Amino acid sequence: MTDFVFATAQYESGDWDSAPMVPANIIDTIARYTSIDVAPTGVIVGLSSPAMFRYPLLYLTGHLPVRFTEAERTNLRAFAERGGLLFVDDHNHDIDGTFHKTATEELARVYGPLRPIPNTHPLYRTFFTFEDGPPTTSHELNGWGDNLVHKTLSGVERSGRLALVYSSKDYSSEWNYHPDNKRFLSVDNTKFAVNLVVYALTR
Amino acid sequence: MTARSRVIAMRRTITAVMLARAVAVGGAVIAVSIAASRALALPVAALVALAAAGVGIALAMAARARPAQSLEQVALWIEERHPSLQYALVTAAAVGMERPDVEAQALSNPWWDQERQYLLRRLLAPFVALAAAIGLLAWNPAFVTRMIADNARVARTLGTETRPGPDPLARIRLRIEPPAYAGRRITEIDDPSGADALVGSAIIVTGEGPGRAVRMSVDSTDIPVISRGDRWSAQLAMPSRAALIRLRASTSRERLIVLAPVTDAAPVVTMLLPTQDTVLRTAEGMMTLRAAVRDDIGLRDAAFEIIVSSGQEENFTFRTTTLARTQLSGAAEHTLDLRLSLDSLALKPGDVLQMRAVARDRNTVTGPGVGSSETRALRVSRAGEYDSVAVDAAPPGEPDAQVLSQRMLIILTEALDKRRPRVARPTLIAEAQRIAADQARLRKRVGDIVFQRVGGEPLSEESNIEAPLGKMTPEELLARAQEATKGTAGEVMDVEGDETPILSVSKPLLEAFNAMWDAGRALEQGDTRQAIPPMRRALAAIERARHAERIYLRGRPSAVVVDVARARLAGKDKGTSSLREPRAIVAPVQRKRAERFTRATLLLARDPAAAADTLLVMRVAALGDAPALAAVLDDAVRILRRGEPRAIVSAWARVRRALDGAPIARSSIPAWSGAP
Repeated sequence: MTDFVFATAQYESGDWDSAPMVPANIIDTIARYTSIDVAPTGVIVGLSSPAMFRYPLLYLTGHLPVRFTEAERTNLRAFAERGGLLFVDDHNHDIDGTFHKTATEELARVYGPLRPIPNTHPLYRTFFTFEDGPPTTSHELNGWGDNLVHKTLSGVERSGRLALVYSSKDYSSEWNYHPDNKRFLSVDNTKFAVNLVVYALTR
Repeated sequence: MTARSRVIAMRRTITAVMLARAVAVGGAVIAVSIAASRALALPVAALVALAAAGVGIALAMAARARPAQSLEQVALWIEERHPSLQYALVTAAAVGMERPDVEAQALSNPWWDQERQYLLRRLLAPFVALAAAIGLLAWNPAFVTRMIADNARVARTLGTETRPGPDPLARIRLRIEPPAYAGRRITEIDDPSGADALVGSAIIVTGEGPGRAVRMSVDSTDIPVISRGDRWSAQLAMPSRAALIRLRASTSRERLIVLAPVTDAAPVVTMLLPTQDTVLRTAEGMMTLRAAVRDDIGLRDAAFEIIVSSGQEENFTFRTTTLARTQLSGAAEHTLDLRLSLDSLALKPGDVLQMRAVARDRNTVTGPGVGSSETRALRVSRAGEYDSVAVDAAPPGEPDAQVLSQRMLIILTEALDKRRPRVARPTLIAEAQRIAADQARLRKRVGDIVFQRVGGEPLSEESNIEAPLGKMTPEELLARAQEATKGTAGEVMDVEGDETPILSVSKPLLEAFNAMWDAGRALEQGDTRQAIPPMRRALAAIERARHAERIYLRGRPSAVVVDVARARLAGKDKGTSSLREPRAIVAPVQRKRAERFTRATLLLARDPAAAADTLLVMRVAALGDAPALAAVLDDAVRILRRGEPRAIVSAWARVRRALDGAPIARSSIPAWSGAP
């Protein structure tokens, strides 16, 4: 059995690397709460590269407009059909922002229309239980971005499992800090990442 | 009990048994008629006729009980079966013939018990038949009920359903009127099995006879059928999903027509210029945008969309605009051009300009369909990025041009070298110097590219240049560049490793520059043989520059190595993996299709029309996700209707292949194979 490797998706347009500390933070979280064998560093994998199929979970974020190339679209379609989970987070936390508008348009072209994920979905119970659905972020509560607290995440299912999870909650900002600083938090705000990883590995 | 009273009792028994037999046989005939009509899909008239036959049989059998009303006939029937009575029973049964000796003889044999048992045994066969027929009906009562109800509805629709007349479904004609925006011709199909048409097309089905004789439905929706002269007609719009028209009439079997919608594809848009993403140090001057747009039916308009993103980290602003919108009035192809002034956009360092072309078609039914091209990005670099950002002044058109010219120069030099023994020395030198001049021109172009790339920043990684290059002339820079590559000419120069992107891309060009310099020097002296090797080295270096890896424009995120062992299970919160919920069983579409095809195959011999209907239903289901299967099913239906035995066999084989999918070829047996 190989270790779980956290993969950040690199795409041609936009700033795919806008949250460089998120991978390390999630890796730390996985080790902190689970016995999943996890690689100590993440990898960056191009969406146009077949290497992306080695990873069950891909993390994609950014601020700038997202325009996939045809190779990226083709690979993402195959990734979904093969059982991969793509987690997309709007680093702008703004539904009027260009990332949200362009990314959702591109994702809809690849996956079909995005639908709200009900807060009773197994995603919120795979490891930690989130009774109220996706945990809020400080960026939402502070009224930044679109000044909304998004009640649900969006997604697309393939064969009874989530193939795409789209977040407007800006977990990229929320989780973008060095894992050593986690000790200053009274409540670990990265626990939801464990659910994402466990869901991707077991469903 | 007297003999006469026993005969009277026997008369009642005989009458009752004969009537019961008539009822049982008639009921069995009616039940079998309904079952047969279900199995053979007989029209309602045939069902009524069969049921009437059952009633007739029952009445005929009941009529046979009439002779039993006579006591004399009953007594004679018993005497016939018991000769030992010697007509004493007939005598005793007659009124007024009450003689003790005759009475004793008539009752000497207990015939009444024997005859009662015989009559009861005669009831067995008819009631067994009746039970079997009822069982046949009870086998699928819901289906029978529905069928009877359908037939009754059709009968009500017909009013005078039993009146003979021409088959209204014998000559069906389909008229397809495409939507106006498509500008396509109207088509008509006789005796159709299917119709392929644009979504929204008007589909008009007509046939002979009055409208009330026909019932039409699409999937589960009834379509009104009207009369026009001596023909019936019904109209509907081509739906967006495949559907099945069902036509019913009392005088013929059901007819099916497949509606296969053709979707108007969205326009295909290709960005021709710029050919790739670009980074500029300063965004000035004019830039050409060019895109090719085409559509399967007709274009409505096309335009360029640009987005300018400004800002960094958490603060970004965006400007979106549409440029050069062009009305295309139904053209199938167009090339969109725009000269974009970068000065007018006032791009600042760090700004990103994204460009794409968008086109809409003329679809007014389900559209308009919108197509967009790939997006090109033009980025203005920040001052702090100059040492880590590859600044491609332009797409790699210039190196390509160099390669072509360098190849031409090599060819010219080789030709001159071949003629060298035959030409005079002055001529040789003159021609060689002309090539040398071209070589110098190319060397200058290569130098310009390198100059643009290094753009005034010192090449600290590869030279000991201390003066800022931005203050140097191109000639001085080239001299420095030549110095920078001194001693490396002829060596293999890869572009990997820890070099900066500028150096990675520029090094092969600098090598080419040096090699051209050597070649030019030899050519100036008329030494073509000495000139050819450095010319080839220059060509090879340019090839390497062409294949240099694309340099990404963003810095690498800092790599944090997590101490997994230290963090392992150090978290205070505890979670538990939840059980995986079983997924819903996915309907095995392939298996269902195979089963349906098997049913069609079984029907093929005894009812080809029903087999064709089965294939048509399969085609409707396959149109959405298996177009190849739908196509071969359509062929099979057409061939089946034409009734060509040989062609049917091959069509059936094609359908079977399409169902099973393409054969899988493996170069070796898989490791996990169960074979020993």
